Parts: sequence; C-alpha cells; structure tokens
Amino acid sequence: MKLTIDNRELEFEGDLSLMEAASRLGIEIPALCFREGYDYFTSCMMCMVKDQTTGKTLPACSARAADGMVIETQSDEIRAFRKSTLELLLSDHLGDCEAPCQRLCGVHNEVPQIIRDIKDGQMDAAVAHLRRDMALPGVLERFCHAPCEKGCRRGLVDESVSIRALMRHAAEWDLQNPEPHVPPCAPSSGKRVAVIGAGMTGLSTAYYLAQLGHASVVFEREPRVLPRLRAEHGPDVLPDWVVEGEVRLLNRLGIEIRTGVRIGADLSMAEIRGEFAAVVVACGALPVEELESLGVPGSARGVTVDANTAQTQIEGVFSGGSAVKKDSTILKSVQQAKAMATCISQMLGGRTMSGIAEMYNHIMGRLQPEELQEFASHASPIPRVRSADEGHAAFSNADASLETGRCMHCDCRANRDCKLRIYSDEYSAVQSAFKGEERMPYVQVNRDTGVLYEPGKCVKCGLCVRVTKQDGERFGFTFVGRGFEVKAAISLDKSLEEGLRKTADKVVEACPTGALANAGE
Amino acid sequence: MSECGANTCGESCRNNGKAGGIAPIDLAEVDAIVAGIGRRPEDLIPLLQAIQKRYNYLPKPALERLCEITEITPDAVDGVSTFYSQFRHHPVGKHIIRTCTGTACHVSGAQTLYETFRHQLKIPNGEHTDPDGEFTVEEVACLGCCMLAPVAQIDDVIYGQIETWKVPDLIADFRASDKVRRNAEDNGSKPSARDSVGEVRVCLCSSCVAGGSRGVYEELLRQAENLELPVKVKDVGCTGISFDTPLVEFHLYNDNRYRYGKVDPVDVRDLLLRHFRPTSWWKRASARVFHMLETLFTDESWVPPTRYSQDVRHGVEKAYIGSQVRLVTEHAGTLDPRSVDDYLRHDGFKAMERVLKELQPAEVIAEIKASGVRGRGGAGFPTGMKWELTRATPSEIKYVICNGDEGDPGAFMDRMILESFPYRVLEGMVIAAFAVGANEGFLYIRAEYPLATKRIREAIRVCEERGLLGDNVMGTGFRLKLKVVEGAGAFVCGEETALMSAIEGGRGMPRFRPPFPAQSGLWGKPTCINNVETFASVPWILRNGAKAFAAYGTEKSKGTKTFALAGKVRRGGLIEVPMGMTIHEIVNDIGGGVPEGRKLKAVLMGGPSGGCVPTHLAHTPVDYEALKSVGAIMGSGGMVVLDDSDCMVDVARYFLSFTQDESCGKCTHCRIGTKRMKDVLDRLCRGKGRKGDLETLEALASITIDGSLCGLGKTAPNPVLSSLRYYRDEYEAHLRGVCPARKCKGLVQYFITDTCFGCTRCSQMCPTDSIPMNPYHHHVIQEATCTRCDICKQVCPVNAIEVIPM
Repeated sequence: MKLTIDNRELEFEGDLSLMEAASRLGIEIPALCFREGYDYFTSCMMCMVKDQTTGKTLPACSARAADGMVIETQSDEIRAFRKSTLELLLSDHLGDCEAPCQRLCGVHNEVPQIIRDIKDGQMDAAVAHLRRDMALPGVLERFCHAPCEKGCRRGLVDESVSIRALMRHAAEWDLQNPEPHVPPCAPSSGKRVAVIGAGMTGLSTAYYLAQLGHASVVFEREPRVLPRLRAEHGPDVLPDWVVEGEVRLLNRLGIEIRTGVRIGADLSMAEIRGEFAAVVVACGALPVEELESLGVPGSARGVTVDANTAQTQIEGVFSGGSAVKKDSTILKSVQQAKAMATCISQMLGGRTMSGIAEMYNHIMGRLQPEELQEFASHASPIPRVRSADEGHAAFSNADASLETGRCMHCDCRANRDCKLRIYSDEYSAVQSAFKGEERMPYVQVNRDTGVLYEPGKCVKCGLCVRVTKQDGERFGFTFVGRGFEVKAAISLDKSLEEGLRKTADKVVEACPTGALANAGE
Repeated sequence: MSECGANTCGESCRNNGKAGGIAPIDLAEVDAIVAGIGRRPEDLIPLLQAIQKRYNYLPKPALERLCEITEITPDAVDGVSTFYSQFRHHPVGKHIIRTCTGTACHVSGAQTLYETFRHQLKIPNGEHTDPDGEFTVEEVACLGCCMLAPVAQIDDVIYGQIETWKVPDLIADFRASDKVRRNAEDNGSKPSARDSVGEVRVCLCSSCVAGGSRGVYEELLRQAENLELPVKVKDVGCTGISFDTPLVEFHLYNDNRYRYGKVDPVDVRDLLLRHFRPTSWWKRASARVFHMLETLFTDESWVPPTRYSQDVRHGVEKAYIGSQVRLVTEHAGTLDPRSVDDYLRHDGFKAMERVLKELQPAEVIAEIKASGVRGRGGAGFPTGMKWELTRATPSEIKYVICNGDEGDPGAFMDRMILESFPYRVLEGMVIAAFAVGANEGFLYIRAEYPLATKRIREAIRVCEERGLLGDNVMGTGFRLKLKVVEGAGAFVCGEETALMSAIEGGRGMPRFRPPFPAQSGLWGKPTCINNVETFASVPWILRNGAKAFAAYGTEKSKGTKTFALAGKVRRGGLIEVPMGMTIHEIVNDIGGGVPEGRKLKAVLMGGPSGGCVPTHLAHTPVDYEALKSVGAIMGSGGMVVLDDSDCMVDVARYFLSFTQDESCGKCTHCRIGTKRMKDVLDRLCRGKGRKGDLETLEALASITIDGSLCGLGKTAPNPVLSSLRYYRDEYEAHLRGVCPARKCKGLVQYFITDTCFGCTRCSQMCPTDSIPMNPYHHHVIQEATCTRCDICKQVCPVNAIEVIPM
C-alpha cells in the first residue's frame, strides 16, 4: 500500500495510524493527548490532518493509514485550524507561563528558578541560570532599578521579595569562586565583531555575542573598563574585585578588550569596518560632532537606529545604550545589548534580523484575594529580609536562605517543555481570541512536596488517567464530571500521594502541560 | 477536591448531611445489592442506580465498598458516577421536584417555573433543597410530555401545563395526595364475568398520565364495577392526540366509536351510562334514580360541555388523524400495549414468523434494502446497509442494540413507541438479530422513561414465556436473549459508540470511527445498532413488502416518519406522516396552526442538532435531503413550532446551553467551543453584546463542527447557524440591546398600564413583593426586585400588565 504525506510517498504494510506513517517519513504532527506507548484518546484535535482525496479532516493519532490517501499536515487550512484549537484551549487555561518578575525583567531572568536553586543550596545551578540570561550580573545587580520587584506578587501580600539582593548574592558567590561560571556558547562562527566602548552596553553586547558564537574586540578610549560607572560611584559602591571578576569571565569567553584606543584617531572607522564583520557603537552619550567624526549618522539625541534591529543607517553598524538615548537605565542598556547581539548574529548568519523571539506567554491577570492566598499560603510568612543597608551590602547566606522562602513561585514549572506553550508559540495563538465570560478560580493541589497539580492548566487529555490505569495504580486519576466542568482527579477523593504511588514521575513526564509538574522546591 | 456530578451541584455538595432524609449506611445492604446485580464492570451503572434508589444519593462509604467487593475499580466508580446526571453525591430532600427543560417547556416558561418552585420553597441560593429537607428542586432533561408544557415531576407524579401562579397549590396538592398515593401502574382491568358489549379505551402512557388519564382510568374501573356495566375498560397504546388528553374512547362492538377529550373523573359515570346499560335491573333502576336526583338537584340534564368535542365524526380530529399514515404506530388507540395476545390478534409476530420460518438472512436484508428505510435516529443511514455490514463481519458473537436513548428536548416519539408498541419493537429486533446473526441484544432506554422501561421488561418476560424470545424462538431453533439497560442521564449516549461504552459500564464518551460498530462494537464485537422507530418499522415492511413501504415517501426518503409535534400549535402530539408531506401541511392541517392571534414564525426540526425552517420555507417537504438544504435536519422527529412571541436568539441560546451541558467534554472544540458560543449568546440575551460577536459566533461554530468527533459536537452549532442565516436582524437587534420578541428577561421590564383598577391580585401573588399593595389604585412594579416571573401578567383580570423594552 502507498500513501502520500506532504507530497512524500510512503509504502507500508499492515495497520498503521497516520501519525505513525508520518513519523516514518520524519514528519512530526503536533499532539497533546497522544503519547507513544498509550492508547489513543482523540480529544485534543491538534493532530488533525486533511485527506485531499476525500476532503475530510482526520485526527492523525487514531485515523488509520489507507492506500491512496493524500495527506496534508501543514496546509494553511490545517494550521489555521490548529491555531484556533490552541486558542480554545488557552481560553480555558489558567496560569502564568512565566512569573511576573521574569516577564518584567529586561533580560528575562528566570527569577523563581534561581530562587529555588538558592533555596536548595544549588548555587552552581543558580549562577548558571543567572548567567544564561544576564550579562555582568555582579555589576548590574548593584544598580538595577529592579522592575521585577515592582511586579512581584508577594508585594500584594506584604512586601515584594528582595529579588535584586538575591540575584546579587548568587553573582557574588560566583565571582568569589576561583573559577567563575562560564556559560555555554554556540560553536564559533568564525566571524568577529568590533565593539566601540567598554561601558555596560559594550561589554554586555560582547558577552551575548560570545554566547551566540561570535568573537569580539572591545575598544575603549579610557584606560579601564566601565569608566563612567566607576567614576560616578566609586569603589565603595562598585568595588574593583567585582569588575575584575566579570572582566576575567569575559576574557575566558575569548573577548579581547583594548583600552586606551580612540576610534577616529588611533584607528579609523573605515579600518575597523574593513577588519570586522560588524561594528557596535556603544560609546555612551556623545556630542553630534563626535558622532559625525565617527561617521555614524545621529542627532542631538544620539545615534539614529532602526528601533527593531538596532542597526544604524550604515549597514553592519549597530548602536545601543546611552549612545542612542541619553540617561538610558543600566538594565535598559543590557537589554539592548542582548537584542542587538541577537540581531547581529542573525545578520551574520544571513537571516532576517527579527530580534529576540518572544515566546508565547500565558498571563493569568489579576488574582482574586483567595487566589493570592492560595499562593501565599505556601510561602514563608516572615517579613522582607533586608540587607544591612538595603543596597550596597550583600546578603549573608543565612539572610539569602530566609528570603528565598518568601517567594511564592508564580511561574509554571513546565514552562520550557509545555507542549501547549510550544505549539501556541509555533502557531502564533492569541490568548484572548475566545475569551470567556468568567474564569475558573485558581487552585493548587499538593504544593509543598512531590507532584504539584494545578487543575486550571489541565487540557483534559486524559494521559494521567491512562498512565495510572496502565500501571495499575489502585486510586489513579479519573475524569470527574463531564463537559466543560470535567476535571482530572484522583479517584474517590484520595490524595495525590495515594493516587501516584508508583507513577508520579511517569505522570509528570506524560502531562503535556504544566498541570502536573514536580514542585521542584 | 470535592467535586461531584458536574451538572447537579455547586457548593451544596459540601454540605453533606445538611439536607434531610439521610439514611445511616449499613454496608450489608450494599453487599446485598451487589449479590443481586453482579460484580463485573458492566454492572456498575445498575449497581449505582440500585444504591441511589436505596439512599436517594450515592454515599461515599457505599462507593468504597463497591470497589472492595467487585471487579470495578475506583476510577470507574468515580468517573461513571460523576458522568451521568442521574447520580447525586449528596443527600437530597424527601421528595424531588424536577422541572422539565425540554424545548416546548422552555418556550412555555420552564426557567421561570423552576425559579418559582425554588422561590416558593425558600431554597437558598447555591442550594437545591429547602431548609426543611422536604423538597429538592432540579432541572431535568426533556420528560417527553411536550404538549403539556411546561411540565414538572414530583417524585413519580407528572404535572402538566403548570402556570407559575399555581405552584403553591400544586405543592399543596402533592402534599395532600402523597399519603394516599400507591404504586403507579396496576395490571389493568380484571376480566369481567359479564359479556361485554363494548370497550372503553384510555391511554396510560407517561404524557397522558401527566394530563390526568390515570384518575379517569381508575374512575372508569370503579364505576364500571359499581354499575355492573357490560364493558371492558382497556388501557391502550397512545393515539398521540396529546392536545386533548385525557382522551376516552367508547367502542361499542355493534355500533360506532365515540371519543371524548379532556375528560374529568367526575364526568366518567355519566359518560358510561350514556353508552352502556347496567346488566342488573336493580343497578339500572338505581342509576336512573341517581340520575333523576342529580338532575333535580343540579337543575339540568346532562349536557355535554363544549370541551367534549372529540367525537370521531368531528372535523378537527379528522384533520389531525386523516392525513396521517400509521405504519410504525399501526393500531394506535386500539392495541393494548401490555397484551401479547392483543398484539398477536393484530398481525403481531407474523413478520417474525415469516422471517424465521421462510427466509434466509440475505433475503431479509434484501427486503429491508429494497424498502429504502433509513435510520430514524437522525443520521438517516440506510438500515439495510448497516445490517449487511454487520452480517458481513465474521464473528462468533454479535450483538443487536436498540437505541432508546431519545434525548432531544422536544422529542417523545421513541417513548410513545416503547410504551405503546413494546412488542412491535421486540419483533423488529428479533428480525434484525436473525438477519445479522446476533444471539444477544440490548435495549438501552433513557433514565427519564421509567414506564417505557417497565413495559419493555414485561414484554420481554412474556415473550420468553411464550417462546417468542429465548433459546428456541417460535420453535425454529433461533436463539435470542434480550436485556434492558437503563440509561443514567446523558444525552451523548444517543451517539452509538457512547451508548456502547455506557452498556459496558463506562463513561459515555464517543470514540473515533472507524471502526464502526458493525465492524467492532460492543465489547469489540460486530454490533447492529438501530433506533426504536427503525426497529418498529421492520415488522410492517416484512408483512407488507418493501414495495408497499417504498410507495410512501420521496425518491430518497421512503416510508413514514413519526414526529413529536409540539410548541405553539393548537393540536400537538405524536403523529406519523408519509415522507414528503410539507411542514406547512403538518403544522396547519394536522396541528391546526398556531394559537389564535399569533403568527407562525418558524418550525424547529431536529432539536439541538437541527435548525429552524422559517415560515417562507414551510413548503419544504419532510425529506432528509430537502431539510438539509434549508439548514435544518430530519433529526429523530422533534418538531417544535414557534410563533411571533418567540425569540430566535433565546432559542439558539437554549439549544446551545443544552448541548454545552450535555457535551461529554472529550473533544476540545465541543467542550470549550460550545461554552464560548454560549458565553456570546448569554451576552447577547443580557444586552451586553460586543461588536464582532456575531463573527466570533460564526468562527466558533465552524471550528466546533470541524473539531468534534461525534454528532453532538458536529451538530451543536446548527441552531445558531440556522437562526443566524434566517434571523440575523434579530441578532443585530440584540447587539443593540433590543429583543424584538420581548422574551429575553434582561432586555424587558414589566409595566402596569392605566387599565389597572387596583384589585391587588398581582400584589398578592408577586413572589418577590415587588408590587406594593394599593387597593383601588393603580399599582406599580418595583423594577429593582422584579424577577420577570410573569405571574402578575397571568393573574391580572384586566390584562393591565405589559412587557416593554428596557
């Protein structure tokens, strides 16, 4: 027998689902409710494909492959159908992919995860998570205006968590190590980028470029890096050991810093452009004349750049930070550095400069008082822990440990592997497309240990029901109720522990969303 | 997590023990129930039903016990007991009031009735039982008494045509009669020693009983006995003339037939004496004296009041009956549904005998194919083909299933057929079983039809005794065992794969087809599943031949179709017409048109899966394809007539609420799509519509159709799409906050005109005290507390109350 999937032919024998047939051709069909090793259930309808010969849409997980079928898995019609399927699911989905603190952070720092790492004493992991997103945290966390803390839900209960102090605690723990953590980097592209200016913007750009596999040389006209910041604040606020530590790390990433080099005098812009694949102008706020002498078009406000790509009017020359806009906050500078590095990398790779792809982010919105209580009831009730002077003194280990207990962990534990999020992102689904009249109340089950269950995130795929059944749990998951009100719940009101005696890990692994996840604390 | 049945309770399930009537739980009773029913997975639903019958709800210790002593697992117990709406997880009051939410009841004010019951019984918000634990008020899926709308059932007593202002009387009546009420169905007239010269026929089907026929029947029995009349009082299959129930027919063997409609028990004695003479001279004399005395005291001789207009020679009934063709409901009004002998006398089991003794299965299938009969459940799949497919699948074990899960609100054909022609249905099933090669079968009958279940069970018992079922049917060696399975309240179980899952003891969730039941059905075996009416049409076809059947109807729709004609029509009831008759003929000629002063607006076909046929398309014939082309469907036979006082947006919202509530919740699009559509319709009916809402509705409708596995989801958007197609202007009016029919409560208010002369009646009856008493003066309604229950309008003697736009 023979069939065609996305214009590719497959010869097959015997009983085969369309999903299996596609997989033999290396074509992946999205699915939430289907998992290999378990019976198909045909509920989510994400795997819908179209048979051109009959014009019928079929769920690929259950429909059998038949001779002569001509299947489409990615047509506009099918993609539009999947998008609205996701939008229906999203209209009945309750939770935040990312916590408000992470969403508000300019560099998208995964705050709750880092706090959990610190709480668990996993400082290596905390630093790895921190450095994945944030350049020079040792410096930045001394000056950041911390929008994360303004969005922190704990602030609605009493006071926000001391996020900045905790992040700084992790960064300094790292800098005090003989070997600071080196973030994983993409394989070298062989391309080199020139960065003019070793301020926060310049150094951060170099850092992010290194992560993306591009080498860079930073030119600084002053004798030392971060000249303006150090001049403004002095060593009490920004001690040398912090700066030196961060510079050591930059060097380890292969970034070359040449101080005392004045572009235009010591080295011409033309020379630089000839030698490097791209140039970053991160020289801070400069008068128009100086900009002109560099040959970069700008105005009294700063360098003129494309808002989406950070590219100046000269191709291959980028700019950000105070060079573009005076009095840019330090966080904003690092944020721009990250975006700029991404665009440069895209340009160097011959791709369209689209900047950092914002992943789909589900937002729960305003919480009802009892919902807030649901979150708060699992956090330590103590008041905010302050460092000695609430600013420039670091947390002690004991303080840090106490403060981590105050975090309410608003993030979804599955936000990296949640299929609903990944597909929503892939199909550009919109959360509010089919917004309902009222939303269900947010509930957490079993917050403190083992498996965390958030029914509001359940897509009713029934995998937990099938897993617990197949593995012979006495009181496994079952569907309770029906229709819109149906819920997955442990049979006869038993506890999650009783229901998941053997299958806790399997169930978490099988759940396509964050409805069932390891509490991870 | 203390969830319970999704549709029955919100907060109140946590108030365990608060309501009255909780029996202490003796687990030995549960053990006894299990011993009597069984321990296998498929016994689960009957076990739960038995436990609930004992305790009035499902106590948790009883459920846990069930898991310990049977093969049934906790996930099945929990999953199944929360799936079906019949099951309760919390104690209830001593009596249960169920207000019907069928379509006909809905357009006759069922929602208001429900609220009035709650109000009268002072049931707090969020609860369902009154503070004394005496009554629990619930809404229930269609009770199938559509011509008596609105209908409510208190325990096993059905009350019809309830006006909201009479609710207190009704509760009082129930309380008074509760003490003397006995088992509902006795076993008919005792054979009389006298030679009867005629019969008196009364129907005791559920809807006629709701209309009061039991009282009339009992009075007939008593008076016939007392007066020693030479008459046989006979309980017969329903004529379908629901609009005139209780209907009594006098059939004198040597004379004519006389029918009386809307008979009251007090009239029975006179009616009897009008047609029959007492056998003894003493009774004759005393009857005459009694009559004389009565005439003396009442100062009038017996004059039939105008309501006795049901003489057979009368034109009205002729129109109702005249254009009907009765094949499936053959001998309606004559046949005693409980008598196998009566059925045998009326050609019963002749078709079966011919099939078993003279034909080969292939010949039977050929005959059925030639007749052109298509599935009467709604989809219209050719029955012969279904049988052939089942026959063709090789298997030692095959099943035949009768789908009696008639769930469309506004449809009651299957109930009437099961109640009035139980033997015919069984005969059809035997023939099907023989044709496909099945030796075991099930009749799945919905929970709301207890009488149908009882009569079918009885008919099976009798057939087994008579050798018409069992190991050696009619001595031919053919073997067929039939069993009744009672539904537990889930509309979706009308879908065949869901129904089979229910028989297997699971949640009624449809699965992807193929495989079709004919290939892999019940317990994975080839299964032939047909609707009640389809089976009931089989004996006629095999007695009269495929040609005779195919002579009725259109090119692609053969034979006849039964319809439950209800709603805003003068004469409603169960009708059977040849395919091809137009909707206009049905509504006007048979149904007598809409009530005086009203205009026909639309006819709803196919209930929540169907659509509406507007007045200008009323000449559409009853034909599967023709109906589909105008956006409606044949459906199972619900036909609800709407007049100009009905709001199409409200009707669409009603149907959507129904399907949304009945969705099993499996497919994303049905589970959430219908809910979001309902959200939009709710908004529109509250005057909170938003720009783009109609487009959102259309988008949701389209994906829900594409993304649902079974018929429920695939057809749920039909009422919306069809009304949007013909009445878009009404939707647009709602977007502007106007309900042109003045039906949507959120968009109207009640207003007392100058005609009011201050009789205070409205003020006395208002359940929320929203009309201050002001004798001899013009009354005024306080808008803020008015619940638009309509009572004031019903009781005002001078029609001074108007419904006006907000």
